[in-house]
Amino acid sequence: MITLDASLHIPANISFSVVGQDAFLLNTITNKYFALEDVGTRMWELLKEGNPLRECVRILADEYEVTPGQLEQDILELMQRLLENGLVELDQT
Amino acid sequence: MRRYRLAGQEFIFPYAFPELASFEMTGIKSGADSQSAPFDSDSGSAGEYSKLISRTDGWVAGDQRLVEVYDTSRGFLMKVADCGDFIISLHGETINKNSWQNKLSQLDREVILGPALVFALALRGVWSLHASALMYKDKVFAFLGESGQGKSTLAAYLSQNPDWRLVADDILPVIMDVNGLNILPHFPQLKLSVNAQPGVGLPERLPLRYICVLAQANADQMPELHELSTAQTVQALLGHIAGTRMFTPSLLARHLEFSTRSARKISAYKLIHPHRRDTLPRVKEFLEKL
Repeated sequence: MITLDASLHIPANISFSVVGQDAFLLNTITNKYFALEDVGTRMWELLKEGNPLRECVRILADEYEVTPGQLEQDILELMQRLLENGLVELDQT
Repeated sequence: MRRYRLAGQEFIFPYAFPELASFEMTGIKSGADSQSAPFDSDSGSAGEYSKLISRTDGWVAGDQRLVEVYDTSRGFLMKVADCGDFIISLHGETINKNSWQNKLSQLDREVILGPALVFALALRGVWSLHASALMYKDKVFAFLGESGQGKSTLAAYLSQNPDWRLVADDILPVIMDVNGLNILPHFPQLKLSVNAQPGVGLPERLPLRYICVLAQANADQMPELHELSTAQTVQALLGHIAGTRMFTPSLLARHLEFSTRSARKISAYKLIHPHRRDTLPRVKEFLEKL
């Protein structure tokens, strides 16, 4: 299971497009599309900017006025799904 | 060489297609064209199939068949099970049967004018919607839906009414320009006879005004029309473009971009549509009021 200390990046084979509060992600290897809404879209934008996962959660908690603890589990589950579908990758250390 | 203008694009074929008579560019003599030279598989080797792009099962030429697409140094090689190999030039200007013997079978023709043409058009930025389309006065409607959702039934009903005209029956090529989404009605509708091609006589390009995604309703339900959000419209466009399972990563990325850009420029609706003939007039009334 992924943790907040994981270091992630978006692989080159992922195309994405943001439409309002929704983001559409495409894995061009598997030819599968994924849709993100609202918080997920903002999370994707923060990841794209290169923010560490822990920092993403802190920014989101601030923007959405919730405690980081509330967000943490949801974000980790989302990242795990993105990871399993090849939409993000763990950095090689 | 024969030249045809399909979906607003010029295509060169080394053979004549009687079913494309309405789309042939007459009075133009074509010389040798290096890009249209048949791909010689006999002299080639498996090494020429440089990279497998996609392998998928699809409904091709009346049967479920395995379709493989390879990126080669000479364009794209489409291998269709029990049909043979077809070469699509790098930018989609030509489609050839590999090692053809001056005669194409019916299967060959259906592959060339089916998946190979859809692929070639995508290379040229033209996307093929699985849709029927009709024009009401000067407004073009595209009806999207899975097989069995009633596209053909609705199109047949509407086209019998004054002011309604069938534009496409099954495949609707579309393209984006600065003004928005356009349809390209000069396209062979293979389910219809040569003399019943609906695009003949229409302009080569028409603005698409509305997209209606057909959704099945309960038998006792009345028709309903609900406007789709931009995100829902993106999903409809992503899900109803023909041939995406054959696409290269680059084409898939362009397709995503096309879908998101188009969705911002078009009005789209979900049409809940019970399969009952008595509700068709109500559907027509909804559409005419848009």
